[in-house]
Amino acid sequence: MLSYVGARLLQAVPVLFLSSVVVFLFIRLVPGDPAVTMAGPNATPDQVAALRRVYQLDRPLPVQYLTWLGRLVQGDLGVSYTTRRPVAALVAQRLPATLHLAVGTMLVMLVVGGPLGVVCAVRPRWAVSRAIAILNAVALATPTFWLGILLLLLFAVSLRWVPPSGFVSITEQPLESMRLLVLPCLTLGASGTAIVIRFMRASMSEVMHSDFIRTAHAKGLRESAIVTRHVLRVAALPVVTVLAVQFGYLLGGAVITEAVFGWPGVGRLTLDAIGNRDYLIVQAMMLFFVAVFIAVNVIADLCYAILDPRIRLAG
Amino acid sequence: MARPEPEAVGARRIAVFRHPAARITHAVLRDPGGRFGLVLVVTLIGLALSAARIAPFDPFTISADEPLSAPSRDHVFGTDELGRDVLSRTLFGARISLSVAVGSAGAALLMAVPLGLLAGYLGGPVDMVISRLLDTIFAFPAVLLGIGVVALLGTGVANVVVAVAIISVPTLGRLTRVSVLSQRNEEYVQAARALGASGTRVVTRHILQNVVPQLLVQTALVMADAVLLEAGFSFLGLGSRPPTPSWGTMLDSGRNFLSQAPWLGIFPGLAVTSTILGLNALGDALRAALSPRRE
Amino acid sequence: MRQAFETVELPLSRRRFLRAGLASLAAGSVWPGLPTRVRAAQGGALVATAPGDLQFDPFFAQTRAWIVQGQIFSALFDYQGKNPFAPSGQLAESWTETDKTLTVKLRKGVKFHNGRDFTSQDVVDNITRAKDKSIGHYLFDYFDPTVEGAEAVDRETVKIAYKQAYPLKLDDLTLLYIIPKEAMADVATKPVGTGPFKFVSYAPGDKLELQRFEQYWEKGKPRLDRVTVKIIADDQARIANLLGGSADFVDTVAPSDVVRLKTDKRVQVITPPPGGFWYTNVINTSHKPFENKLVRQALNWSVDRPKIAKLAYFNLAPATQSRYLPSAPWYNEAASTMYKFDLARAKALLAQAGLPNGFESSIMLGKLAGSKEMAQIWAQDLAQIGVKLSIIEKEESAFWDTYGKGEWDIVAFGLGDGRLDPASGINNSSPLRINNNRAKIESQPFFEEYKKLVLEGIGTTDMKARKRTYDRIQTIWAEESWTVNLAFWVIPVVISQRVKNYRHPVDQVPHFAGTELGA
Repeated sequence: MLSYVGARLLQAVPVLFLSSVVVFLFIRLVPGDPAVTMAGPNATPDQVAALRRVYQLDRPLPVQYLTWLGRLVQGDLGVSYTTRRPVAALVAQRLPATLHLAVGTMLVMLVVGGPLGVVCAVRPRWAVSRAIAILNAVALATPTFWLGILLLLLFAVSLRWVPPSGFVSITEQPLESMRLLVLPCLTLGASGTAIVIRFMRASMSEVMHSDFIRTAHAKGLRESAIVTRHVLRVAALPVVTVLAVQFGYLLGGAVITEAVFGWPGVGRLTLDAIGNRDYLIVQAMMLFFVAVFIAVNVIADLCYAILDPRIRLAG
Repeated sequence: MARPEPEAVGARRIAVFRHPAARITHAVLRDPGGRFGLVLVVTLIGLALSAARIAPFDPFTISADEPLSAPSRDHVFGTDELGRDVLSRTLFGARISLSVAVGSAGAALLMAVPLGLLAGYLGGPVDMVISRLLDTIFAFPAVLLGIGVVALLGTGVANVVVAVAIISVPTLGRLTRVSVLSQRNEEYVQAARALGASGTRVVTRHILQNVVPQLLVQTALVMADAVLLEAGFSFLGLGSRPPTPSWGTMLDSGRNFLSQAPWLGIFPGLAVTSTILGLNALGDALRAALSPRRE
Repeated sequence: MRQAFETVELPLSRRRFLRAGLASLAAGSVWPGLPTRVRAAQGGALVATAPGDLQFDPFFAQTRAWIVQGQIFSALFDYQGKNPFAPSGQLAESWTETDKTLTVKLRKGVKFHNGRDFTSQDVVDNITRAKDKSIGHYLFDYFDPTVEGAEAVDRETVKIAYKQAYPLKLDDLTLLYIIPKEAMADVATKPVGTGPFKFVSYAPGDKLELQRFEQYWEKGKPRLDRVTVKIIADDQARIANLLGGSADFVDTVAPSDVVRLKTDKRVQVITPPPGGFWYTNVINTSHKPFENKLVRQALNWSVDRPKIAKLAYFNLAPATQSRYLPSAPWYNEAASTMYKFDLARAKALLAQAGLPNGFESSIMLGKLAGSKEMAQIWAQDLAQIGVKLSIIEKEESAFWDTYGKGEWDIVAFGLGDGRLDPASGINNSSPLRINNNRAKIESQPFFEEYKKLVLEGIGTTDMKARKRTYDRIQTIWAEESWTVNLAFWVIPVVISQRVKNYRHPVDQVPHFAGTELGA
């Protein structure tokens, strides 16, 4: 298993390097310039040139890249053009909000998706199961921002059950934090929950039709015991993988939900940085997302191996 | 905006049937979900194609007299902030959304299938390079990647197509590669090789044929994703150019009027949802039809 | 809808307009100027909102600094006086002005947030910083060409010498927010000023926390204990916060939202008087076929201003083809009524220009609310005379980049220049100024005369002569037609019902020093 992890990490190196070069060049190819953006529309060329010097954008691209890479290796991500704060501090500041959202959404997916998936698998002909299947399909087909806005209008503006947006750490004000988390987590979790239900149902019904479960039935075990003791353990495997991959997405892909709910997460940070052409933030964040993605995939594979001893990982 | 999971189909071995097309169609039609999806998708295509004939108004005509009027007998879906008929715009919007769906799926297939075939069939360093490339693209968050592409190329339907295509390449590419890998050592491939068939011939005539069904499933899902992504990009202000009535841009401008004129957002939103419902249902039915468990 | 401010020409609303409409301002806004009795500070925390990350160096006048400037910093002058259109003393107690000098007596007892006394040397230091090109801030273009130097006469008196007779001394100084020298290096992250609130913390993308500055010079102020600025990118989400009761102040509200919020009892809409800003389409005179003024005039005849004002800008302010309201002293009636909506006339002009079948062109849009609708309306009318106008939307950075490079045919703008004196208005509007003009008018036959007039207008203090000069300049604007003015632009602020005594200054910089919170 160690050799597997080692091999995967080795594979990650070219991916990380490639993506750092791609992002570096890509963001500079995009029309627009942080100096122009910061100097404002009336700026004279002199003023823009002065700012480019301040930002060290007047140096040749290879020099810029190597300087950045050299500092990156030492753990220095540079300073943001717009806010003049260290990029590392900006990212660190945004991570808690993203983690709150990701964990909250995972909980929604597990708590809602898991049991409903089991219901659908165990009693596929129940009306409830059919209703869940239909809701599922609708959830998968609804644009995230659309759902977010509708929830916002209904629960925050009309009914005023929860505040419309904002972020408070759960360690500071647990109740307020949860109130604020409800809508974004539901919005973000809708499609994820649907995916979990589908995987749960598919994987459970597959297991339930397998030979060893038939044997268990034949032995006269109660169905609830079969489901909880035998089926769930095996059927949970693919769901774990899905959850791990979803968690990876949640750490980077919640841009739209963050925009709707004013959530100060890393997706928003990256989106704003792309808008402001704050190159160093974009470079750092993209590298972060790629690293998270790789890590999550390795972890998913490891979970698989740990939960199912039949699987052996080979480099 | 979750991406479909490639592994769900990719790793499974597909039995070869004599008339796969006929068998699949039959299976899809037997499945209620499949029927539903097929009817929905065919209806949408029909509406899109005949939009010019059935739309009650010109979707572009601005009317200062009746902006933001509620649904009525004249304007069944109401009018937008420029007094344009929302029903007509939604019908014409189907063209844009379906073009984005078809265009981006097509472009993605054109890029992904050759890459996947090469990687899977040749293996070794080629596979290594292509796989790492696909991994790299796949590792970027989809929405941010798309935003980058649209920021680079500028707004407009064509560029949204490019962005969605690039996002979808890794999924399709990996799927192709995995399918090829599973086929490469099949007896029929070995046999063809033994009979002296060239590599290209083996790939195009034999392997590709057996990869197609799974690509079909995935393509339906990519198309559904494309419709969603187009709406998402438009929401972020990166969608089609006005006055082109895409559902995404209609949703985007409609949300400014949600409390005064909810019909501006509701109808294009329903259109998006039903399109994706249809495509997803069709994709699921296809997947089920292709699943070996059925036999 | 995206935030309106982003497409504004830079100094935007900082400049006032000499106009008679004082009463409309007083009627349209909550006026804290003359409270009947001074009440003790009643405390509380006000929650304002901003659409994007804030930056704290006030020398970089991006819109994202506005909400901060009036709270943390003060300038020598601002627009909070009894006459809202004229600069009034803030840190300046009194002043004397000659053609080329300004001597300011500073207010006593003013302290910086770090406890140090504010003195005349601080003004000198800030003028030095304003003239420092290496920082790359925008104030360089204001102060370097005009100010010769500043000296501290004594602890409370500063004398500023100008390179030429300059009528805009006070207006420029409203932009010079005073930073203590020792805090200049870190002002972007740890801002220190003399304003009513001091910086506590800032979490980028989340919120800024400000706290009452107990040693603020004005007795009894500020009344609030705290000000929080929440960063909420989405326009609708900001409004949702306001309506949901978790925010008190939203200042980037699209016209479409203003219309519905006006009837909402939960909030107060404060609409400034029109006249300071206007929507305009700027034509690139170096691009074919716009080097021909007949074509540009045809565009001015082809635009249906009332329709655009109604559908795109929701009639918040009147349509106009002049940058001045009829009540403004600079208003030139003949030049301001030269055009009306007449497609036949436009087509005839195109035929005269050798383009009887029209031509193809494009209009570039930024994030300015309403411009998408405006462009679609105009494009539809233009199509009737064979002109195919395609609409290109750009996100902010790309918009300014393309604009700066001149790679556009027509661009949709919200221009704002309300300075008392149109001279600076021309200098500070990139499509109107004579240096580095973004509409590329330098190669046009009228340019020499225009340049001479612009220099004349800024070089004399004889008001009658200047009125003649600006009449002629307005005639050139209208005849040469490189800007198609559409409607006046008002930028309302929406505040919650519990906010009392908030007055929105004409320069759009919020000041919460006198603001209170009711029940």
